[in-house]
Amino acid sequence: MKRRDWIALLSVAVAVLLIGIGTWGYREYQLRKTVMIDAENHYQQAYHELTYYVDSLEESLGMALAMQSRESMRPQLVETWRLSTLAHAAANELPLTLLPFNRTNEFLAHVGEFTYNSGVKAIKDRSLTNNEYKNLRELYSESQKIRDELRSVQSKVMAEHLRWMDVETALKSQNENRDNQVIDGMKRINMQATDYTDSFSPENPRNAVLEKKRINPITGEQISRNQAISQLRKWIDRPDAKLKKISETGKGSYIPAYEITLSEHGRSLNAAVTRKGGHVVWFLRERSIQKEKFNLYEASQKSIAFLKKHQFKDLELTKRNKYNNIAAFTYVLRKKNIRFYPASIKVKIALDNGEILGFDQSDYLYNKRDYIPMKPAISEDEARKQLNHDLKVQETGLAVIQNQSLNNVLCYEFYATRDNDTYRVLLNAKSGDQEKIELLKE
Amino acid sequence: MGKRLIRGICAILIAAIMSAHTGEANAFSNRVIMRGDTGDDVVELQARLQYISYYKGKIDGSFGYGTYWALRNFQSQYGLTIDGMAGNDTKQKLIKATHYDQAFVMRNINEGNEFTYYGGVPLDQQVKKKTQGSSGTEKNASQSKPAQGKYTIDNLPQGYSRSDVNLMANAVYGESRGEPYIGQVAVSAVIINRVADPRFPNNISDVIFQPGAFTAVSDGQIWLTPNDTAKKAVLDAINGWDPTNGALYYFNPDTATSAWIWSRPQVGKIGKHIFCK
Repeated sequence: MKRRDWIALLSVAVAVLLIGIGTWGYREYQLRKTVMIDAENHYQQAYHELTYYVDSLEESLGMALAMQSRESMRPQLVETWRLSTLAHAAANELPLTLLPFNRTNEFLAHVGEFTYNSGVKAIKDRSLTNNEYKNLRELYSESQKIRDELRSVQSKVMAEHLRWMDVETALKSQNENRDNQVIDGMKRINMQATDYTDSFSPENPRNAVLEKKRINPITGEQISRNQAISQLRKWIDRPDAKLKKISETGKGSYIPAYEITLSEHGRSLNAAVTRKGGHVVWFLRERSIQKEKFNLYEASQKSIAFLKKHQFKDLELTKRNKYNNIAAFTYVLRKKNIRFYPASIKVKIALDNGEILGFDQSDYLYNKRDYIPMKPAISEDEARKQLNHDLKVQETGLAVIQNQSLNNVLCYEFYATRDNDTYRVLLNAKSGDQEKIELLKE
Repeated sequence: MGKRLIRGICAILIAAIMSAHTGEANAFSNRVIMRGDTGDDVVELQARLQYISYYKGKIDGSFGYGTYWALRNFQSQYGLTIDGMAGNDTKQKLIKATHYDQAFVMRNINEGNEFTYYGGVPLDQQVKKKTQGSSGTEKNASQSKPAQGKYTIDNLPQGYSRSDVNLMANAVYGESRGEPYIGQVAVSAVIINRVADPRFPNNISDVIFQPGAFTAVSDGQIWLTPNDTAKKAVLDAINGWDPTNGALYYFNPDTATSAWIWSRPQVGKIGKHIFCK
């Protein structure tokens, strides 16, 4: 009797529990489904937007080709520039996981750069050069290929109800050879754009292959690990610093180097020393900083002394930042009254005891700085005409900068003020084109 | 805060009395002041430059470009070396040419008033008192309070906003809080390298929130509160230190599942992560 009651009670309890779990589980499932659908819709939207914008972009490039002069082409180029940005944004909303739209994005970036340079930035009605026209044609034919591929993936996705969420799962799971139409489609697009980028050399400075060519040749002899360590110790003036770790950089690094970690009084110092020549590329100390005792000027004197000690010459302080009791200074090379912005060195000073916390000369060491015409083609007055008359020019000079396409160009540099705002305007000293304009915040 | 204020006012009073005694307000410390500096010396510099109408901006104790041009123009007019730094000669010339009412200037700064300090204009006409007591202003008063007596110069590198830095610190902390400091700088550098690379979005937040880009974003760890180390690492990376040689990806070799990531050219291993391009 008693036992039967127990059993009855227990089975009721189990039944209630089961129903409870069931309801809860169903609710969770429903919730999950909604979230999944939301995510899926988001991906779908991004993909359809991407195809739409690439479609319009192709059309717009085609229309630009119909025009003769830069002035008549300009509206189309500007429109293409706008579309490339939108397409780029849409592409970046798709899952990146390990199978990126890298190459598609790269193509879009080239379109953006080209249309900006030739349609927006170029002043006056200089007619389009043959090279520009050729590039435009190349971009147009490439955009057609990319559009076709995107469209074919789109129709496959629609016809077979493929889901982006599955792509993500497929990418995450190790099973890479799973048959997945979307992935296959994407792979093909990426491959094609690779061919394109390889062929598109003149205006493609960010291409990794070319990037290597832009690196200054490093001078000096090959050094061993031990030589690198003692070189670093000498450089930071700490012969007693203990070695914690040393390794060589892989083939992905700009320049083969040793990565070294030293320990000085329990704090660690990280640094990189080139294998050729044994140049200390950068080092960085980490510690907590106490109360500020040095002011910015005193810290700058420390950094100058440090640079002098290491035989750096012709440097000019161009940037200073003060934050969290730290001062960071940027020096650039100045020769024959021309500033070389790409050749810069950074020094970080602790304001509690004036110690050098960090040093970085990678830009100074690596950036190529020859083959730049040092004579401006237009006069300063000519360049100055482009500035608004309300601007009061405070300082003028010549400077070499690396522009958006990573080319070194000679510019007139104007520091000018309007009310309480300070601008820096860099105008190409050859063509008068506006290379960069900044509203300085410091 | 209150105590500090009282102490500050006392110090000002004493200084004012002392300067009245010597007859010459010589409050500049003997340190050289340069662009980027903050503090009382800068306040005095700005006030003195405004007294003779060279400086028209706000007297806020932050030596920015506005003060810099004013000082350079002063130096050129007075036959000094034009270097935009307030050294001894410049300070002496300034002291001779101007009058500095420290009590007036410091009081207005501490009270957070809007004021100017032009010579020859009665001082009481140059202050716009903060309206107090009326409804709705209380909130404003409390907002501007942190600025009182504490000079900040928003010295973030050009192109980065405060929220960019915070968001990056969040991501770096979520991704690599167990890593050594240099590993955290490296992760920050990867974010910056991606912004610069045409294959990735061109701003910080889009890079961080790109679907699947960072595990800390996918699993929500990005919303942990970052510590100071992460923030420091981010600032070092923003200021140009890149231990990764321009790497765009990194992964933990113990947990990485994809063959693709192993095919990338590697730069090196920092902490637990392998960095690659």
